[in-house]
Amino acid sequence: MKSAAPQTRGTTDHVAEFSGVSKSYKTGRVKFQALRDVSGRIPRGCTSYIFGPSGSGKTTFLNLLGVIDRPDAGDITILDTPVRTLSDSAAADFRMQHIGYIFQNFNLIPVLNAVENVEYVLLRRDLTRAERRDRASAYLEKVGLGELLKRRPGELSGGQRQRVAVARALVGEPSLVVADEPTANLDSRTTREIVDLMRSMQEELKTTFVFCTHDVDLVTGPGSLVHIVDGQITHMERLS
Amino acid sequence: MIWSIAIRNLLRNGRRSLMTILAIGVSGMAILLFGGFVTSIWYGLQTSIVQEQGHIQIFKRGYQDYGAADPDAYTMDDYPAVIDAILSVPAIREDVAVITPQIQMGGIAGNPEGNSSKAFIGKGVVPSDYNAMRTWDYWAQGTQLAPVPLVDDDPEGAIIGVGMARMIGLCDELNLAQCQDPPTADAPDGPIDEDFSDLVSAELPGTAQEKDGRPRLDLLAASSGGAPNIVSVFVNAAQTQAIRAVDNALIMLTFDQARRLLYGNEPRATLVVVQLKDPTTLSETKGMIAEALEAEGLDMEVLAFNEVDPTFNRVFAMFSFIFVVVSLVLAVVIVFTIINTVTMNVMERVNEVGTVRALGFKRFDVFRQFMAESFLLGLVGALTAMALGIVVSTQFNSAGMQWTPPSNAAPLTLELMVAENLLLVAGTVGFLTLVTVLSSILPATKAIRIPIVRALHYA
Repeated sequence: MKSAAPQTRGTTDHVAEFSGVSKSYKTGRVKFQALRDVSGRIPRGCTSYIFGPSGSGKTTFLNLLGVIDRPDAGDITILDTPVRTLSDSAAADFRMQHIGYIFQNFNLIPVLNAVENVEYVLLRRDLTRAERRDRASAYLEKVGLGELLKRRPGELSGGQRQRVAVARALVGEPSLVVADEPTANLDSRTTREIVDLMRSMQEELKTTFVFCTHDVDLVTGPGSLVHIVDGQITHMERLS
Repeated sequence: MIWSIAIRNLLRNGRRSLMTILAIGVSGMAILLFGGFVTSIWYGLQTSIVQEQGHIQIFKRGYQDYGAADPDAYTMDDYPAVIDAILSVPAIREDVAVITPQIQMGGIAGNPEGNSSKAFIGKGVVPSDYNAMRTWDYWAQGTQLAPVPLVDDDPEGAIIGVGMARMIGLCDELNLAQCQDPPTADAPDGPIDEDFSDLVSAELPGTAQEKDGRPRLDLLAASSGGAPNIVSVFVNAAQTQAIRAVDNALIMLTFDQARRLLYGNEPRATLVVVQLKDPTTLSETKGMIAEALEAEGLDMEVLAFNEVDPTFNRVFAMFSFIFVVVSLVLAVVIVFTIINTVTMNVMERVNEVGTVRALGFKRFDVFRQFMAESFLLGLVGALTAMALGIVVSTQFNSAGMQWTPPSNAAPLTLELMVAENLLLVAGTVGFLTLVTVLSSILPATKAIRIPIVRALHYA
């Protein structure tokens, strides 16, 4: 297995910088302004919470941070790379190399078992099949699923699925992991377990975690908080 | 892993995949069965033509174009020299099954018993060679023709078409079923018939009216010198010919008797027929024969059977065209079935496509995944078609049905030669797989064009 250290890129104390970013969506004839002139930085090597009520623009912010969407206006620099101008292919490469993604609905591939789901994101890496399998198994061990490698998503509980998703996000050793309401579909006990898992992984791997939530109970330090309301950052603060 | 995922995705919607595979399989089976039928036509028709006409025919140059108007001028003067020149090449000799001279002619046939006469088309053959040619069955079609009732040591024997027998009034004498002598047979002789009878009496005085119970026919033709000549033949049998015009006029007689009628003792013949042991060498052997004749200074035309008679090419082209049309129609069915299946697969997996792309996979990676699934679907469907085609054709063939193609008098065994035509099977498998893959390009392209964010929130 290769080194488990996160892929480092950039030298600044922040992983991402938003500058005057706006984004709107059109639903039929209705135009919805999701983000308005947003500026701010996401600090490196800690957990950042994008907090706000439903419809506030958290997910849009996260989509832009995860380089799966482009702003209408403004600039975004992630790991010292201006991502707005990346081509579709270059953006895919960037995500593959530097960003891990955890989804609200787990989004595991249903026909693959746990270890295959984790291994899947390593397909485009220069690794042998055995190396891929070893590394995926190791990450599933880290998230406490060492005994369930061969289980398919349909055979796992919601919490177990999200653990697989966490392992999948981390196995590529990204610099940045973005999580879109990763506990929204979990019960409170499982929610706490997943949050604790992500915190422990963040501390162990020193990877920057950014996840959005509307649950204030999850917003506990250390880290930073970005509060978004009506598509604008109302305040940012360090959590200790 | 791409193939593993493809297989699992196909199994995920097992029933849908199965129905798609069956649609491809049944359509492909139809293509294979019809292709097997066309294959059978190709082999069967070629066999029946080669049994009658050989693979290669050698004429004096110009015979095909002008011989009908002036046959004497375009008759080869020394057929043994032609045969010797051909057989002097060891490579040709090894591959020759039969090489034989033939004479084609026209004239007037008279029935002295019925006092009737009629124009005839004559074909002079060496009986033993001609009957040997009729046993040629390289592709084991099981359609060896019965020998014609002519023998070398009875040069006066002949067979005629049933139509000829009817018109010249030999139905009763030959005991032919469903054949009646013409009602005018008893009518008073016309001036031509009278002239013909007078000529025969002068040329062939005292010839018996029949021999061994066989009725006599007198054949009048212009000899090589231009003078009319007459010989008698005794009709062994009447046989139905495929083409009505030929049936109404054919007299097949021995080569010796035909030569006596036209050329006396000169070693002349209209053509030399070559039948090969191995038909796959036709083109090569034809070339070698042309070279051998040229080397001997013999100015001959060397033609393959399908150059002399375009029937084979026309019949085969017709069936090939129908085959292509049927295949295209079935391909359209397959295309819509696959588009439907892949579209449903895509719509169910839009969210998955968004996920995979969010994880850093490119559009092409996703596209390739869909293509792999379609390829497998097409391949399994095509292999199903192959299995169905072979099983159904085997069962069909065991029934031993027969049919008579337009150019034949005798029926051929109706076979669906699927397993025997590997090119057809491989081509159909490839065609079905390709059509399936191509059909999925449109829905797969649509899937990868959906923006990631929209795909992730696709319900």
